[in-house]
Amino acid sequence: MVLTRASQRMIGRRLLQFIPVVFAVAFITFMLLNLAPGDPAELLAGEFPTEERIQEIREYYGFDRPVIVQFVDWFSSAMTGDLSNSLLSREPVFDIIASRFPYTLMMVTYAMIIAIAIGAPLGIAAAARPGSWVDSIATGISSFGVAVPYFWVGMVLVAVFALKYPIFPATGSVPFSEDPIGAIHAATLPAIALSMSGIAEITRQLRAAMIEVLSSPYVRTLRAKGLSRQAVLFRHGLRNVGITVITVITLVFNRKIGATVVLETVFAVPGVGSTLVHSAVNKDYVVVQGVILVIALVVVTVNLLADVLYAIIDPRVEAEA
Amino acid sequence: MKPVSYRDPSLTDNAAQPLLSVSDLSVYFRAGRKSSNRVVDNVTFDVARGETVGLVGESGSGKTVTGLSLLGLLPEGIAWTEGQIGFDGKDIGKMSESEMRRLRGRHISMIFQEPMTALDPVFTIGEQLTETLRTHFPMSKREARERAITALEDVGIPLPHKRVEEYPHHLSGGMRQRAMIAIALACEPDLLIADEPTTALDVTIQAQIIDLIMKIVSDRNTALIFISHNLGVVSQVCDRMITMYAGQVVEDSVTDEVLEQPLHPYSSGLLASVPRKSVSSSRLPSIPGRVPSPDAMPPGCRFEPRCTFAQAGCEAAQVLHRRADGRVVRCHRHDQLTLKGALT
Amino acid sequence: MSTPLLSVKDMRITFHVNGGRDQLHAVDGVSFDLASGESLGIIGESGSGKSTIARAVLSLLRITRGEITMEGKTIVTPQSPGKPGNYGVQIIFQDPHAALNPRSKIIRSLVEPLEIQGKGNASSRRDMALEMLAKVGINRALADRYPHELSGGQKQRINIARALLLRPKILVADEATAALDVSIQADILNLYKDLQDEFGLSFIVITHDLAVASYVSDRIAVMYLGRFVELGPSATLATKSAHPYTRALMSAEPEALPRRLQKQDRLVLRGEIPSPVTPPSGCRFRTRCPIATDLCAAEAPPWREMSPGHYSACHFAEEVMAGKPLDGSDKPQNLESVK
Ligand SMILES: Nc1ncnc2c1ncn2[C@@H]1O[C@H](COP(=O)(O)OP(=O)(O)O)[C@@H](O)[C@H]1O
Ligand SMILES: Nc1ncnc2c1ncn2[C@@H]1O[C@H](COP(=O)(O)OP(=O)(O)O)[C@@H](O)[C@H]1O
Ligand code: SF4
Ligand code: SF4
Ligand SMILES: [Mg+2]
Ligand SMILES: [Mg+2]
Repeated sequence: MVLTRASQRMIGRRLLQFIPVVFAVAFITFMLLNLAPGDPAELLAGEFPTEERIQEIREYYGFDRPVIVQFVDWFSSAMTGDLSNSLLSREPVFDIIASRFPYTLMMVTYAMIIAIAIGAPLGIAAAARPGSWVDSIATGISSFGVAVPYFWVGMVLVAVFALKYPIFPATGSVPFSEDPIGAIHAATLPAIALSMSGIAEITRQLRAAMIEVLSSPYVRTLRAKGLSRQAVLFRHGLRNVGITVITVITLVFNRKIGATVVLETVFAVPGVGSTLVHSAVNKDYVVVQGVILVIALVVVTVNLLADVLYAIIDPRVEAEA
Repeated sequence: MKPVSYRDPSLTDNAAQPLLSVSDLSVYFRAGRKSSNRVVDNVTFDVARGETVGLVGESGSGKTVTGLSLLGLLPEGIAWTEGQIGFDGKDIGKMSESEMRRLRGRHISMIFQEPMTALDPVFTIGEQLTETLRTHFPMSKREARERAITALEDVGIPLPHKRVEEYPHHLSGGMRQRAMIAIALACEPDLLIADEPTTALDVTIQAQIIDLIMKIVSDRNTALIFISHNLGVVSQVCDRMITMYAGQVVEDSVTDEVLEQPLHPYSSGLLASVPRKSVSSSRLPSIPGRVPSPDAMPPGCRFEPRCTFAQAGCEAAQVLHRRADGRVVRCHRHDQLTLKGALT
Repeated sequence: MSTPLLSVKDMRITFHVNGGRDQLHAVDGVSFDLASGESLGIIGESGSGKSTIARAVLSLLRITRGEITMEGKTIVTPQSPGKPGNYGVQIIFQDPHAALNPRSKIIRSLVEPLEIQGKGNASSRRDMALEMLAKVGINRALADRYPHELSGGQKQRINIARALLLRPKILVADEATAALDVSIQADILNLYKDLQDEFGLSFIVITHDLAVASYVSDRIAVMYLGRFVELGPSATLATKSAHPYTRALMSAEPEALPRRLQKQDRLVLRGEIPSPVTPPSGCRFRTRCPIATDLCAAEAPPWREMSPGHYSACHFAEEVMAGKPLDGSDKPQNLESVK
């Protein structure tokens, strides 16, 4: 499966869209944070600020300049990797994110693996025999997974597997680079909690997509050629639902990134999600901007990858392009 | 004259054993919780080796369902069959799924109407061909590819070594139908069932495909069941023509005989309603009314509500009569009526 | 000669395709007249531009060149695309289901266009609709049914009734019977004839079925790759065609006849219709024409009148009309062998 000219063009177009999207996210975040009530300079000035002190801080950080100028300044240094310094800790934001990001990545990846490992076979098995007991289980699990809030699942998991039966730690985490097993162990409960809605979504979408594929006219041709049901399901079914798989995985990934914000706080994981919450509470909006920019970059990159995969998997992409 | 409502043993005795022998085939579809509809009703016919048989009738008359049941491909759970389907001396109805699988594509193949949707869009033409070959023959990928290219060449696809790498959407409707034929015939089956293979095509392309099918089946002595509602196409392609109405066979005769002198009022009505470029401007005769729905079949002759020749005796269910001249018809008035054919 | 009801003059319709990089002349210089009460058939393979002509006549798209006049009044030019539905042309399509709202009763679908046009009041609209249903042979009782309760043939009659309610002078039928069973098709074709007699309605019948075209049309236009290649009285085309493409189409169409009466010298065209984006030079049919010569590649054949009202665009129209064999044999072909 080689990329044709047309798919290459399509990917090129997506790459060109990449920059404006990231720019727009950065711009909107920056503007919203600036419109939000609360003056960071007041915050930084300490408990009993004087008007002069506040003014000094404003000038020092450049808060007194027009917002647009501030944005251009921030964004252009962001392009060089300089995300400015935290207002609270004075640490470079880039370093903060670099040290936190692996925890988030680990947790999300782990959750994705669980979601795919359970959701995909379940969805396919359900589609292969609609109306069977497998199908009922799959439908049950997906309605449950969609309905239940993940932080609630997180708390139940902690109550059972960390407090009552202390198999997994309730909170905290271990860097993967130092102790991979320990890191996986520590991330298990949050990852399971995080994977719930993913399992549901992947099961549901894959089931629907596979049922549609199996009822399409070409399946009748395949059976008429003498292919077994298994060959139809696994060879033709899987390749045909490939598009859906990519779409749903991308979607689930995007949602999981969002969900880390709450879940890292629940499990006290020092990832970017909890950093975001912490910084937002403390009005450290330089960090908030940095984190959102990085998350946007990750999401946009993953979506770009999905588009590239579409082009590779589906020969019809070029026809539509 | 003795009516046959089931397979008459004397029929097969004199001729060599037919390749396909369908007797009293009925197909039921579930309709609601408890009830079911019999959409194919006691269909009985034979196909000899190398014979070309047309299956004609209005839409809904049960042609496709009959074809699918020969391959055991009716939708599971909602459809089931009764009766015998003998193929090469074996009863298909008694075969296990794995035996059926070895039959499909290898001994009996089927091609379908929709050239746009009948091929898997994300597999190349080559993959879809080699897959069929490798399902039925132990064969290396390379060998299968070689045979695939030959198969495409045989159906007149230009540049076959390039086409094997292409996906269905790269091909025109006519070329896709050729590819379908190549796939169906790759394993040189004994029987090909073609379900309206040219209905979606332009006449010019239809002519090409008809020529192709006729050439291949005659070169290889493949038996052909050609399902079509187009009597013109059937009259070109088929030695024999079976007319179906409301799930039943109503006439089974040599094609030319039906065209010249149909025995069943329905066959005659169909023939008359085809517009002809050589016959102008008079009113086109048409058959009044419409095909009864499977849950409201007339109790007697199913054609009775639309038949202009109906009289006493027609309110009784009709059986197939096998006449001395070998023709088979489901109408008790068959030897009283002189019906209009293609020329009258 | 009196003014024709409809007159299309040198019409070209161009689509921009491949992201605007290429021009596709779907209709490329087509002219024809339609007299009041006349029925014109347009035949040709799919992609030849038949439906595009229909849409232009209905003012559903902007034409690139030429003009359309009705009763001598200019109604469509490249500058003014006209307003759909405000003059007397209506259309029915192949798919009888598509045009009816599945959630509305039949009567609703019928009176709706009348409402839009502000004709009559609620009860008179209903009366008009019921009366029209009777004219197309539909029982009044079906007016309160939903589309899914009706057969394809019944739905097509209802589409015809709906078109006729707007009192068109021309009814365009674009493959309107292609999806129907022969017996139902026969009914609809008979209905066309009745409507022609009763209302003096003119028809443009677009079909890929030559026999249908011959049966209902006074004249037939044969179209290939955006152009008319032949135009003439139906009977003339059937027996004295002056274009190889027409002959090929007729030859390709299988007739339900016993083998002994079937054409023995059936001409099967090679290949498929080329892309209209890059049509062949000279005669557009030359890549598939069995008798093409160098002249055909070099020069587009002129549109010539072979006999009164019979036109052809072929360099060798005379020979073809005289029965020049198209399959390399020396047996003259053309006249139909069957009565
Ligand atoms: N999947 C199905 N479920 C229920 N009824 C069906 C199904 N497929 C076909 N039928 C019924 O079987 C009858 C015969 O259909 P079919 O064989 O498709 O007719 P034909 O091919 O002659 O047009 C029709 O009445 C149709 O409604
Ligand atoms: N809206 C459109 N955009 C681009 N191309 C079009 C459009 N409509 C029709 N065409 C092209 O114009 C040509 C003629 O189409 P059409 O009039 O539908 O042919 P026919 O009805 O004879 O089959 C075809 O090549 C078709 O692909
Ligand atoms: S049995 Fe009677 S109703 Fe039926 S086809 Fe024969 S004549 Fe007509
Ligand atoms: S002009 Fe030439 S190519 Fe065109 S139809 Fe006539 S003979 Fe054929
Ligand atoms: Mg069918
Ligand atoms: Mg069209």
